[in-house]
Amino acid sequence: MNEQFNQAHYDIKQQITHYEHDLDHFWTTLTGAVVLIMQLGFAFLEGGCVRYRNIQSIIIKVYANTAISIIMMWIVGYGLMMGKTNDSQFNGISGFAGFRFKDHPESYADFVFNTALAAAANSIVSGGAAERMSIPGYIALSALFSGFIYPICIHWAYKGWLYDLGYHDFAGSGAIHLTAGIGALVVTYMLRPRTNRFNPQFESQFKPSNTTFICLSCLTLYMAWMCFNSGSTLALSDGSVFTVGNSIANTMVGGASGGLFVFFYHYFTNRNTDNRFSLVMVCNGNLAGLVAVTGSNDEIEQWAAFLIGIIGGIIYILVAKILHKLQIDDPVDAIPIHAGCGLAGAMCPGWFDRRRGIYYEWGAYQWGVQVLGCVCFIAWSVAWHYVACKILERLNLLRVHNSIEMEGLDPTICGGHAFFYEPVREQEMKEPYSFQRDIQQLEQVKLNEMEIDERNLSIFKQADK
Amino acid sequence: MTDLGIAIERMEQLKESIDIGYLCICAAFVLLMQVGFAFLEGGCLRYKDMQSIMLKIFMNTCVTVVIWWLVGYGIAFGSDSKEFVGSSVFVGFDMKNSKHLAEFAFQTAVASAATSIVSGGAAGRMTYIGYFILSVVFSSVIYPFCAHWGFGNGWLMKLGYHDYAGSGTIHASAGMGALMTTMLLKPRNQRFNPKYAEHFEPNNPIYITLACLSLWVCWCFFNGGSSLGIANGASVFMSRAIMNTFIAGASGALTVFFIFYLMNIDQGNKYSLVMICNGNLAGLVAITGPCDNVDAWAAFVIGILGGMMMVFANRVLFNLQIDDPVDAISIHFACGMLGANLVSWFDMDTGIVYGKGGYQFAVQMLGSFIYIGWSALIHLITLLFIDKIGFLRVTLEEEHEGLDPATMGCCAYEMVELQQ
Repeated sequence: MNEQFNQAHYDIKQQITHYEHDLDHFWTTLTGAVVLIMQLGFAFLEGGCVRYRNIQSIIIKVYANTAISIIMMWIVGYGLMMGKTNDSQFNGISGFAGFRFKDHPESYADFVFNTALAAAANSIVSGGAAERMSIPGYIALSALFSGFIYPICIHWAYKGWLYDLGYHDFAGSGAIHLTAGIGALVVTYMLRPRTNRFNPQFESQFKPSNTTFICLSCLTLYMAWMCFNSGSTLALSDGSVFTVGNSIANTMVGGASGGLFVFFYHYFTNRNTDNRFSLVMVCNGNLAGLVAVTGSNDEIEQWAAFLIGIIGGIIYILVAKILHKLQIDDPVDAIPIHAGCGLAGAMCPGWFDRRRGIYYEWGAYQWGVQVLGCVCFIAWSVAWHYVACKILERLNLLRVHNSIEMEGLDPTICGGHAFFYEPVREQEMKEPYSFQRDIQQLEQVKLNEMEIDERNLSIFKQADK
Repeated sequence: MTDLGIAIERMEQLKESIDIGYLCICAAFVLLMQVGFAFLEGGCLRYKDMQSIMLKIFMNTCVTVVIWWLVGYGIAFGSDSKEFVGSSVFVGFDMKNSKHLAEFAFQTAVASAATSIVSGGAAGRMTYIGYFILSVVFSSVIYPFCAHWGFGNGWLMKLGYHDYAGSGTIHASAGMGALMTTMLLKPRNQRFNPKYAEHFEPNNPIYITLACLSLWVCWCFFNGGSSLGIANGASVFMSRAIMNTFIAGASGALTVFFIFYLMNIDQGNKYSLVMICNGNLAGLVAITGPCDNVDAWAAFVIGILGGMMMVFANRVLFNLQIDDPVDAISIHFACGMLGANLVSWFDMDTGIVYGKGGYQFAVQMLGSFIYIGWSALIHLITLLFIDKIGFLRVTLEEEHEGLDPATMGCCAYEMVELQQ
């Protein structure tokens, strides 16, 4: 009887372990699939920020890099990133092309989650390539990024030598956003600014083409970011669910405080102008706060998340100003948000982490390791992106021809504009805005349309006869 | 000993809760696919027909949900099922426990996705009443039987037909419905007149992108949710399904993107956003059948084959002068048939590539042809009936003016349209 009891006890414990694994895989896969919707966010963010004549081209780049990151991650990236670490703990050496997945079924969920994150990282780099990089060149760069540059950084931070030193970066402020943001910086620097970008005469031409797209994207990104951050637990069982809850709460708070801070800052510095309330600012501030809180959100308190969001907002504003001063063209603000706030976010675990941070009197060791990690990511990313851009430049695959850029990539190589309506700003650039003239134009267009339709109808009627 | 009993009972409850929670989340995401369908078809049509197709999709979502509550779920998944048809759980009675409710939610969301596929063939020229009748018939007669045979312990499933999330059951049957609809409706006026070719281009590739990126995510839950649970090892199938969905969608997108680039390499429109989106969907439809039990490399290959099939079907339809406004037939019908039959090649337990013989191949062929035959027959009868009562096609004047201004009073958004 005792044996029966022991056996039953053992069986139950086995069964519970199985359910725990099921729950963990479910959580990882669910959050991985939801993080894929960040690609929608990136597509519309970059589409809304660039000029009307380049919208389709940047969305093609984002869509293509999503597909490429998934394929490269499957073939080499996942192995380099999450494989068993090699002797010097530099990279992984197993798990390529999905071959060992059948024997280690937990790899499926792990693959899904990490691939979605890789696709998001890849889209960050596309921000630097907007509007003037050739599409084949960008495809080659994203294959290199998701197959080599990015997986190595993740391996260092989560399984390799940096992880062993104690580097703590929960959802990847440093390992993901800083790496990709620095990549965007190098790419945009090597591409040189868009023509006439810093010519004061053409300043109004470079405003975002569609702020409602930016809003759609940022609200989608905000929601998906909660899965980006909380999914990094890779588990729900055994107490991880409390980390998940803390993580989502911190993500919400950090994003909110970042958005509000930048919004109010913009209001106070533009109090007496006609653009004192800016949708773009609240969206960018939101993203800045989210990136800043990405590194530390598992082990900080909500007041710290609030503070970190504000720090993110401050860094965003400062870095944007510096870039403008240095005449480095960042079409979608990828560098202040991802590189700048990524760096800040990677520092935060050293200060605010409950079990490691300076604020909780654990000493400065953690902060030192975080600094070391960031320096390594920056150096690695700069080196490889520079090499890649130089090679592309040699092959003439870096920048599109000037005539293509002036007319816009959409009508010249992407088959036409994104949608067929004439934005008001194109007219505004020629003459000051006039309400009367707009009404007259609308009437004239309606008359033209009616005329054309009547002509068509009569042609069809004749043809039918 | 009673402690043991309690522990066992609590574990059972835990298992139930995990499964039900998972199914409910999947149901919600699959319902979100309707946004994807609405914007995909809205973006593909002409500017002046956008609202009409979105109305049709919204309408068919609601129709399918109500019909499935009434009869559809019972026919498809009724518990005292015979092999041909289910026979209980009509009008929502007899649902025994919460697992039943969650399954109902999920399967109904899947059914609305199926009905929305048929709307692709009806785009731009079918009346709303006619389309209403068609969706009632589809969701009450055509699709529930297909679902029962393939998913609900019907005779096909007992023969060994394996179609995890429904390449054949859903996409091929609904795609055949779209094909029947579009053939009986005849092409939109002047569609194949080369002078007006540019007039019929998709009017808003940005909407199409919005649609396809959200469809990709929701498709992960469509495929993953077909495990109907995650406890007891089903989570392996779920995560494998989602991994394969990622990979096949990616390879399908890149394949069609590159094919279109190579076909247009010396023209001005070689990079096409619409093509990468359609390729993505083609890969997703092709992997829908095999997703739970194929290797990652097989998913990569299936995506490529799906992309190639879509381009091929596109060409064939154009040469036969069959008007496919939203590419529903080349994506859903062609790639759905392909996906249903690729199961027999790449499935790890029964596939030809693994040397397991041709029985599965025969069953998959039988299943897919039964589906498209059944779908074609009932659609034909229904459409002929609708034509008889005069509700099939809108008048020529309405079609030229545009369905939106003619039947709904205003266009989707008031913009100054650039004269081409």
